Amino acid sequence: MSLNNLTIKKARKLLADKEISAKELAAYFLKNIEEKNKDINVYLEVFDDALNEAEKLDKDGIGNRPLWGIPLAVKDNILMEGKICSAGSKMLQNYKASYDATAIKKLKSAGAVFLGRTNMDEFAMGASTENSAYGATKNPHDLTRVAGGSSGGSAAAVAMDGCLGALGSDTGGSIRQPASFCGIVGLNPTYGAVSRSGLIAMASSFDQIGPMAKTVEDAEIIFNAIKGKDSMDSTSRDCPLSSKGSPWISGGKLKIGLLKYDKNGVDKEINESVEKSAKIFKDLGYEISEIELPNIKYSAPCYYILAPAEVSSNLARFDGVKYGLFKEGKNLTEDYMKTREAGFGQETRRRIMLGTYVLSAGYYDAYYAKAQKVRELIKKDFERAFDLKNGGVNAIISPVSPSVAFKKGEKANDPLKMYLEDIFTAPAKMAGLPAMSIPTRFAETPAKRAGLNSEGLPIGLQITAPRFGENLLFEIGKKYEHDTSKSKMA
Amino acid sequence: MEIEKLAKLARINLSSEEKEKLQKEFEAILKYISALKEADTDDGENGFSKTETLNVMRPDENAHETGKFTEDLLEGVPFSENGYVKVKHVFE
Repeated sequence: MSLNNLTIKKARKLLADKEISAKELAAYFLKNIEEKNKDINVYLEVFDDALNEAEKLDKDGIGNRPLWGIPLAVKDNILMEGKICSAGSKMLQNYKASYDATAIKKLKSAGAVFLGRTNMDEFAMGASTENSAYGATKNPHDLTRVAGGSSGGSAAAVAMDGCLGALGSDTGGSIRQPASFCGIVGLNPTYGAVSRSGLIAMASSFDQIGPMAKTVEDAEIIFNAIKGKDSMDSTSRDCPLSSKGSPWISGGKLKIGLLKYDKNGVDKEINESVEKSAKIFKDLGYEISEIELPNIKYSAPCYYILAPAEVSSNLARFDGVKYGLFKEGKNLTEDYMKTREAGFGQETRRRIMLGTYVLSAGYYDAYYAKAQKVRELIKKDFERAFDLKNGGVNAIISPVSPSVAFKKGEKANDPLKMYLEDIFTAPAKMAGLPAMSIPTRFAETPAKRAGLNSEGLPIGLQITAPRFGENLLFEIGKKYEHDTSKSKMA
Repeated sequence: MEIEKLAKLARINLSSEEKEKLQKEFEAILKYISALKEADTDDGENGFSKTETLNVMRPDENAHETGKFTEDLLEGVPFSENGYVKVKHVFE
């Protein structure tokens, strides 16, 4: 039996029909990993208990557990009890988690099999995984290019068929941009939809755990397994049920807004792909209109004030006293300084310094306080855009990133260039909105039908919805996916 | 900008080469984030959303039994003694 091109949904059927065991399925992916991981550098660790866990599940039987026997990968900043969790940093090279993240607990009870932990930019800061202390992850479509970041390992794991789905985390775009670069689906959930308990904190007012998978339906299955209110994260909430008049209601004739943005500095093929996607939605029966959000141009600069500020306080905990690396100095202060010099990589140090600056006396009002106010303006822009009673739309489409996967090293020495990767992904984070990257596919040529540009690289499309509008994203995404897979055969 | 002072505040040792590099990079980054100055925020917004940010309280009860997690947590601690985290003198 060929297990190529398996999805969670298809695998579920094979498992339920007993055509394959959970152990055989896990073994298939472990073999793929063994063949490809050397070149792509996706997994920092492949768990040696994966086969055993799958075997245990085989004995238990499938029951009604939605992810029973499904092999998943986990980003290296999500805690799994007893396993190392290093956040791509030397600081936590030997740190063993003492408890399960809530998302992991939920996946365990859903029956998932964990294959290993995936590479990432250190402490989730970066857009290429080049900031990992353990080497960059390469793009499975072109090994000279990056997989995106910071969840580049999780994206590449799915794209190289090294698992059926993965968890990533998105703070400024860290799920959606690598998903786009690797040609897979990545969902940044509504802030609060998934518990952050057990996610190593980067910027707490932005961080969210989310699914990465081959199809929208698979992402939905994982999302439904991990979502929900959790007493360990007071910002988590249950998704409110849709009722008449609620902005996230699905079905009917939906309105999609095509984001107006500055097309300069964005790949021509990406600009075209957004327009062509709008045409596909129009043909599917959606009402398409152009939409302007005047303040979202401030999102990325705003993000690069607020996120480093939160980083500088969150990462103060790495002091060589409670856990992680310790480097000895002459006194306690020197211990801190030496430990943090040795444990943190360049970008992490840069962000901590930047955060310390924008929070320091004399600069706080000009930067941090101002950015908080601008964040509010951006939220209001989105509120207006989604106000259906006043000509608003149900969802907005836009590019995911200004370029396709770039060459390794191309932006590594220019932090500002790397920050600009977030211009399309940061806006949704400002307002805590759900946003999903899905691969674009077009009928014209075989490459385009496979979702690739003229250089053979994937292009993603971003769909953004109102808070708790995940259902809307899934509905729209599935329709697009279904339509473009039909045209594949045309 | 006083990189030296910031490094001290952030408790990070930096080599002189890195300080020089950061100085240059910060100039570019600060120029970029200063774009916010143009944003019109003068409509009395205090910057914090009123609808979503609220305190979540719970009764202070049902504490776990003392010492339940001590061993697990101390396993990750660089220096410990008799169930305590061991730290150098804070004041000298």
